[in-house]
Amino acid sequence: MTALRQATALAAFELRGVTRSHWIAVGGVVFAAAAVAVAIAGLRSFSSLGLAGAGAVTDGLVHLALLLPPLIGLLLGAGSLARDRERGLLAMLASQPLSRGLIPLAAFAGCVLAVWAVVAVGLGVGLLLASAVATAADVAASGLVLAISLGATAAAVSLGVLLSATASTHHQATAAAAALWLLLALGLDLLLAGVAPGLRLGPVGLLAAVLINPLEAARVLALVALDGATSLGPFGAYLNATFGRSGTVWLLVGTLASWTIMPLGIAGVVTLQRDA
Amino acid sequence: MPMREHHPHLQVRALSKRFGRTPVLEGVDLDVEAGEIFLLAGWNGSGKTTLLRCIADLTRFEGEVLLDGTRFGRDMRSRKALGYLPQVPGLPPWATPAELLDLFGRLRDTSTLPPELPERFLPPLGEPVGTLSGGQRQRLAIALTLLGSPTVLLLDEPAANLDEPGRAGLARILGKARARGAAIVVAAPSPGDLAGVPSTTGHLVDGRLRLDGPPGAAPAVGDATLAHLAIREVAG
Repeated sequence: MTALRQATALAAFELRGVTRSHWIAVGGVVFAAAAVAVAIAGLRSFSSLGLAGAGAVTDGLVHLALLLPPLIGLLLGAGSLARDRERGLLAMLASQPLSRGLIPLAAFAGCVLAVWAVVAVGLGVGLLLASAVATAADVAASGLVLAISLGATAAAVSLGVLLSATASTHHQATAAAAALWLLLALGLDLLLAGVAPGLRLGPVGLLAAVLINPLEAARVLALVALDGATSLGPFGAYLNATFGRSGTVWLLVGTLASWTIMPLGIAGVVTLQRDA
Repeated sequence: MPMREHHPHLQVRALSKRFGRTPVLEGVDLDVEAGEIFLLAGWNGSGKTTLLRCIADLTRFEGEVLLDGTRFGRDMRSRKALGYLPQVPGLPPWATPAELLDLFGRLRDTSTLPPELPERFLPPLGEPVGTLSGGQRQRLAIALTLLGSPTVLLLDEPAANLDEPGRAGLARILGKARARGAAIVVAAPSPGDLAGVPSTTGHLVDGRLRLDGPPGAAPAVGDATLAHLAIREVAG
């Protein structure tokens, strides 16, 4: 119970720090504005085609929600422990009667709650606009988009905290976080598009490429959950045939959970081993 | 009836530390009794901060540190006994002293301010740390270190940035902490920097601790008037 109280106090302190920085406010405003723009553009394209429902809006929001919030999460996580170490605050915290492994856990909790609030507000505004034309299926799809985005963001924050635990300075951690986001959001996709035809990766290779990238796993999860992987073509057919729809969903949910738990666990071990 | 073996409250045995291949501390032995203030003096870069960090188990080292004869490390008993003031306590600029006292109080499971604190020692509790002066931040950091009445105080240059009333306040704090039985190690570049009374002095020279070292081996003594003021404060 004491450990839980301490972790809660530390996480609340971290959350307060994050919410008082201009950073998260700027990220929140940019994300909300982008979500509104995507929602309006999606609604216009649908109505111009004479279609009903908010499918284009949720499709657009999926891509947005899997790009910007993970970037914010990676950067916030990366700044947490590294900055405290540079300041000397980490040494003061590490000398307190608490398990040192709680420190990255609390940093994660504080950062992830702050980014989740940004995601909820940004997506909420976008989905509110879409609600004028939404059907019952659209509402369920919107809930899925939100949940998957929160999962991807948690994985991103966890990776950011790991970078923060291992980096020498917070500048180094921030630069590594930005590079990692580029790699996960774009780099691996581009690499795969370039080499997959030549390597003849096949569905197993593609699945491996999805599992090693939490953002790709979240994207595929969204497609499988929203339309049963039909838009994934032969790869979607392979997933359905091998795991079934629910099996694929659980595989990808497990992947996202692993990408959240494992980096955080490693960050805890690093924090225990490393000088404070 | 057999006599119980006496152990100093804090013992350091054969403590050595290297940064890469460079030895910083070599075979340091130190005993600090309950109710004793030990002044750890030494030139800049002599290893004072590193020694305190080793004792606090914030960095790896060879040798051992004991609390009442048993290992002093990261276990809860040791951590509850430890009050560590780093040389640069970089408190987050956005937080207020009230929030920091609340956080560290929760971590140490106490809701009361340290009884050693003199009146008007703390800075304004509602102002963000970023708006406080260096001396006010140092006063706050000292208060955070004293929360929960730790019995081992490791203070790295606690008088840094403090004005004369602040140093007098620090002397009162050290006196009261000593009176309640704390073993106190204060690192300072020169004995004159300490607003307190060292009952024992040691100098770190070439990585080795020399107890009551010769004046020639010690850093220059600073403000004698201040040292006398501190003596009066603690004696009083």
